Amino acid sequence: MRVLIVEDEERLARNIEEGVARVAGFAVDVAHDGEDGLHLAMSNEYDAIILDLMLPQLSGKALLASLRSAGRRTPVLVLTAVEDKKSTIELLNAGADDFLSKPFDLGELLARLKALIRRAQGHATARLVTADLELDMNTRTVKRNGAVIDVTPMQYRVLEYLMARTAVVSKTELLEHLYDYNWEKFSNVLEVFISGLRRKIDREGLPKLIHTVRGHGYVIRAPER
Amino acid sequence: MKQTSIRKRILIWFLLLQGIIAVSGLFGGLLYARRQQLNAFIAELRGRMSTLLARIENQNGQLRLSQPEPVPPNHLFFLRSSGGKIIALNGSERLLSDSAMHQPGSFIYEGKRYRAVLWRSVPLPDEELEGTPAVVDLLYAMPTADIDSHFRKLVIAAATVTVGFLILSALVTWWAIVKGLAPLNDLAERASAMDAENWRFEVPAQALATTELAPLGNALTQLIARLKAAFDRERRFVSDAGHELKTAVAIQKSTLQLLERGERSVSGYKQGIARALEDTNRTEKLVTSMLRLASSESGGTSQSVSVLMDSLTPAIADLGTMAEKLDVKIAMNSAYLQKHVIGDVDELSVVWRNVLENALQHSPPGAEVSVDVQSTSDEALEVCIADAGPGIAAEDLPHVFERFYRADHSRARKTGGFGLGLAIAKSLVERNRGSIRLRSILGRGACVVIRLATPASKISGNGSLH
Repeated sequence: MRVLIVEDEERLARNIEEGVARVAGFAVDVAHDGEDGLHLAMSNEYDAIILDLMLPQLSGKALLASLRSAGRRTPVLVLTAVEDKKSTIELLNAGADDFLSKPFDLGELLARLKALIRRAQGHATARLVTADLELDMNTRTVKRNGAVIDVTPMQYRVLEYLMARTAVVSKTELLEHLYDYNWEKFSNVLEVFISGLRRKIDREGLPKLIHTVRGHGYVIRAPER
Repeated sequence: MKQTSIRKRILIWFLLLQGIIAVSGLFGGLLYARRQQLNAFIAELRGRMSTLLARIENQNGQLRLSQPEPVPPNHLFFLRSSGGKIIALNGSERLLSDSAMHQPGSFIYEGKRYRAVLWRSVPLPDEELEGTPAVVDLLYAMPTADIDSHFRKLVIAAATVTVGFLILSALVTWWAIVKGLAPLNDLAERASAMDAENWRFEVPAQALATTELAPLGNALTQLIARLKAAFDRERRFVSDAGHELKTAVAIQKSTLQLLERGERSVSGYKQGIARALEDTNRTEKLVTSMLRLASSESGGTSQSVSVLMDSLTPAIADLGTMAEKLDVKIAMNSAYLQKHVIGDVDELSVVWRNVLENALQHSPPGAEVSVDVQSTSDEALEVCIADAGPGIAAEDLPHVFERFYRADHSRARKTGGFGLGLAIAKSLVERNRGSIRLRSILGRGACVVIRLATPASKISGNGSLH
């Protein structure tokens, strides 16, 4: 998963970034002003955007309006310092998906962020299941047939995205959602992660779950009977 | 305080005046009518007396009335010759002795009021008596009951009409006052419908069309516009301050929450604590700045006088470390440093520090911030603190002294400013009867000019320049 943080207060942006990257294990991009934020949001596919309202150059509200009028459906979590009903209603009506007022609890921010991403991808809970493969987004654990499988953080990211999408995912899309704006540099290592995951999940004797769709990408699906 | 009513006052004065006029008019009129009435009455008396005299004839040396004409029975008269002999008498003998004889005019006879005229020693040239013309006394009296009752009726009628007129006038006046003051009530109603949420105020057209109310209406409109502007400024300040404080707390909180999550090495924890401490320092600085702004804006003007050097030189020294870190030099011309200016040393120190800090933050490395002191024609001092930074865009110029205003947002965040420094400087300079303004050429730097009065210069009532 890849998240964009638009927050002009650098120290706060840094803390949120650290929380999202280290605690939730997502790839993160940060913008310190509205224009930069809009540019990033329009040119990349994010799984969610954390947006501050009081921004230089372009306000959070204007950014949100541009994003929505361009047809972008990326879930947006707004950080606000004002807590009145009127502006909350305005925000939600303008296309925000959730909001949190400052000072917020980092744990709550991450939980809301994960819930937004989960909902956007059509899942009701943090537990993703394909056949006997289970992934828990909260505890970040992977189980097959009830047995815990130890995966590296990057392997986890790949698996989480594939299981959340439940469709064929292209290499580019996968890379875009695993890394920040530097993703192109990492195009060669993707195959390494996939083969590593295969070794751990699709062990000998077990039905194959990770499939390569030639010319398209990868998909995780239950074996056909 | 006792409330008075304009309506009641106008009505009372108006009615009082009308009452005086009406009553005096009534009195005058009645007096005139009475006099006319009495004159006519007396004229009739005299007429009757002349008729009587004309009918006196001499019969064998005896004066008497010829063919006594019937005199109305309620008229009294007597006719007496000079010898005291009664020629004719209508009424009782009492008339002769009574006060009527001595005081003719008005008297009461048998319970009735009479008015009489007495002619004494009237010669009768046609009637000679023993060679000399006859001389007679004649008293004639008529009852005044008729004219008195007539006059009474007149008084009652006139008084009734007057009182009725006064009542009608009071009603009409009250109606006119109420109707005339209606635009004022309307205006008051509109004004009282306003509150902090609803600033809509429109002077009713009727009030604007009223000569007396238009100035009040316009003054109210202007007052409300000014109040709204001030209110909006305060509201924005509170909102901005809230945003800054909440953000500061959010930073502190998230730093600590990050530290709480997951195990770290000792150095990792130390790093986290250092970061949390840094966040706290920043919050402290924000709170200090806000409190300083609040206290400098709390009103009152300072009267103290200080030597310019005492505040300026230490401020420049204080910022030496920061200047060194940013690789910016501070240059100062030393003229006028010994001069006295109007201004508190401590407050001016804050002004210099804030303005210098701002100049340093906007200077590129290797540049110079210059502090230039000039004397103006009216013996004030102008301190110009100039930087060689990017300058300020024209659209930002009117706002640079506003609280929480940051012309270059993204960079101000990096430099750690809150956008309060120049606002504090402005507030402190104005408190010390000076003025502050900003000159800027885009791309070539900005210069904050602070004008301070000296004890020798005349201080204008409002020294602020915008």
